[in-house]
Amino acid sequence: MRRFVTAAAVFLLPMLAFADAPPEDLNRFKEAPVSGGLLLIAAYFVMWLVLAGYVARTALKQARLEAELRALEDRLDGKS
Amino acid sequence: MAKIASPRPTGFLALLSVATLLVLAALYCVAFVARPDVTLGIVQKIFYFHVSSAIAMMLCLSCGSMLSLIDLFAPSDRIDALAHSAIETGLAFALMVLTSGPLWARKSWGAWWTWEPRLTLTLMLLLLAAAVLGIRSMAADGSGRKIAAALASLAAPIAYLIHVAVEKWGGTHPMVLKGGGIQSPGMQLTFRVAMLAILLFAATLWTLRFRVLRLEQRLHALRLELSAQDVRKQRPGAPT
Repeated sequence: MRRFVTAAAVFLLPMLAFADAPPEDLNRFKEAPVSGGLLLIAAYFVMWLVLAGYVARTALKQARLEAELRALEDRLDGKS
Repeated sequence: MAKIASPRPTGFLALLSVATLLVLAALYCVAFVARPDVTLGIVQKIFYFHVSSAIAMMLCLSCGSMLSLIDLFAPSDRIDALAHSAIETGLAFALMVLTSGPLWARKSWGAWWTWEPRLTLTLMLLLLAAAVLGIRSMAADGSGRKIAAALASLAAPIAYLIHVAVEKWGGTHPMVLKGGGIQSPGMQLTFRVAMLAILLFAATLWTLRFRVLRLEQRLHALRLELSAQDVRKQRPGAPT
């Protein structure tokens, strides 16, 4: 229960901060031009970083689980 | 005791290889085949993977939503693993969409973010998927499975609303008219290759995550069997 409350607080507190913030002035962005090439590189870098991180995490987890499964199967074979 | 077969679907490596090759081909097309857009410039090239990722996100989360609904009424470990892996894969693509989108928007709209219907609904979908996975991981004993499944079943209606948001409520996203969209053959080819690559990559990730979840379930079953054997060893008269 405590973990649920903590997680809810972590999600909700930043939202309350945003709710009180004044509306953003979008015109200020138009005065500061940015390089399209830089944004393109950043977008592709972040997208592939997210995917690579997810694949690596899943593959590592799979390797660890397979090793654990083999050890448990051997243990069960030894017992039966 | 008979060995429990490791979940190794045949053809997984072939799927992974084809997906990787297609991703490389799509990247080549983005760099050398599709010309920069006349109005938006080079930043428009974010489009190819941004839109494909958005479609992959909606498909994965809709499948996860429907599978969760099935699991809610007819619980099965296999369906549960399929739903969970679809939602996790969908979340990865939602992250891709919501990081590449603002970078493109900054150049074409002049703002990183606006609270327009499609963007807001996409953020809602991402938070919903994160909440589903959060509930599952916090209630590790399985008690959160039904709550998570009920929550996940909302993902398909939200994905549908994202699809129709521009048509129904307008917003900053452009509305694609029938027969409209990209006209240049190079751009069309690049979009098709990128779409195929991302969809195949999503299927590969879904399969990979599904295998890992099935392994976890098998491991859990083995641990239970092992503890039952220990009990029988300590009390030889106990029922088998």
